[in-house]
Amino acid sequence: MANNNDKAGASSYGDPEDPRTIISRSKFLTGATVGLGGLIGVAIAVPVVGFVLGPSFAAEDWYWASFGPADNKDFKAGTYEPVIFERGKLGELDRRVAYVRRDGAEQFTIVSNVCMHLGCPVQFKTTNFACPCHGGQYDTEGIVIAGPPVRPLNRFEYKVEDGTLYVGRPFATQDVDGKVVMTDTFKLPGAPVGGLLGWLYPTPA
Amino acid sequence: MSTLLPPPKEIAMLPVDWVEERSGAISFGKHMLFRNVPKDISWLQTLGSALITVFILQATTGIILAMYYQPAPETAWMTIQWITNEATLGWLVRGMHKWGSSVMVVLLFLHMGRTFLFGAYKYPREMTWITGAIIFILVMGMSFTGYLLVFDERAYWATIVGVNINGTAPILGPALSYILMVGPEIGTNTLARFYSLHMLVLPSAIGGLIFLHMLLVVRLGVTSPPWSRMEPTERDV
Repeated sequence: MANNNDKAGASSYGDPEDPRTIISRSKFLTGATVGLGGLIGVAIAVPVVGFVLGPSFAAEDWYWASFGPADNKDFKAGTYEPVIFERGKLGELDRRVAYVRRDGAEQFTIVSNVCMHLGCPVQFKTTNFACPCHGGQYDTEGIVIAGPPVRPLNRFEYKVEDGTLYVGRPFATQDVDGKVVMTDTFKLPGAPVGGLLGWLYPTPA
Repeated sequence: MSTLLPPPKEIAMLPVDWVEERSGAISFGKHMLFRNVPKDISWLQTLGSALITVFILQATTGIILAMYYQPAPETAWMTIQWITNEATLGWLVRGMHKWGSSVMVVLLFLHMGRTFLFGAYKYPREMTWITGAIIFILVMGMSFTGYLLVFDERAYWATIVGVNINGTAPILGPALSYILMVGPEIGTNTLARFYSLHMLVLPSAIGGLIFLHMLLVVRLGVTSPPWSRMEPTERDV
């Protein structure tokens, strides 16, 4: 090794102990440029992608909307009364429609008007819910009787406090042997609930 | 004096020569515009140029609309009403943008149909076809995101249906819907996201892909129609 010092280093190529034999200067610089460039790319991409996607999966703001006195005579047994309410503080954009049916003094069935095909608003017509967009039909319980919807209409959670009816979030329902069973998750229109198909459409947040 | 100055034509060309000497832009432009094409091409091969023209029209009118449009739920519809009914020539610019979008989709179908029926997607032009197909998908994205910006009842419900159609894809569908709407339902951030996609993300992607598409068209040349009677060697110029 000592002999190579007076020949400006050039003769040490091929010497297994010389680092330049393991990797040449230009290869090292190419690798360093690509590697550092990649690191900088990742350092920029992580916050950008996180910021783009994060808010999409954040917990949603819903509040308990007051529907007035629970003994309201408009809420009748055997038929539905539409109630227009606001689910949050965005005004017109937060306006939703719930169909309220009385099952007892403080017992209600509160059905969402969002069609479970692709999200159009359904309307109650004496014996069934009907969707104007693609012809989905539901019976009085919200179970699909015709058309393309994949599951029964969503139902809202509700509570009665000091004689006032409050309505909260909508939850997906499942048709179990002709009876509507409320699940504990929200699902988008068009996403089936239960079984293999339900597993294929996971709720993202 | 007259012997000292070059003729007026040469003086007029001085700035052009200055640019050409430093950038080669003039010879590049001549290479693009005066390249050889097969002699049996027809008006059918002008649909691509028509599309670039409509893209420039959409970009220009879109930039002007962005000067007055405010993408918030409270203001979106009102500013569009102002553009249409109050602003000088606003009805014209908005009308050009609105009808131009339909013209672009129609021309895209014709251009793709022509390419397909002429077999112009075959070797060696596969990459031209692939970049064009990506442009087609992005233009569909432009139509979808632009539709919501009017923010009237039709825009709102059409977007709900469109987003839920995305959601019917298994596994990733629901997540895609959440990403598009910024949550499980249309809210304040949905409009801003669609606006950002419509005026920044998608147009720059389309612009870059048109550039690539054009580079490939110039590099590989134009195909003769399938009924061409020219010898194969004559066709590729």
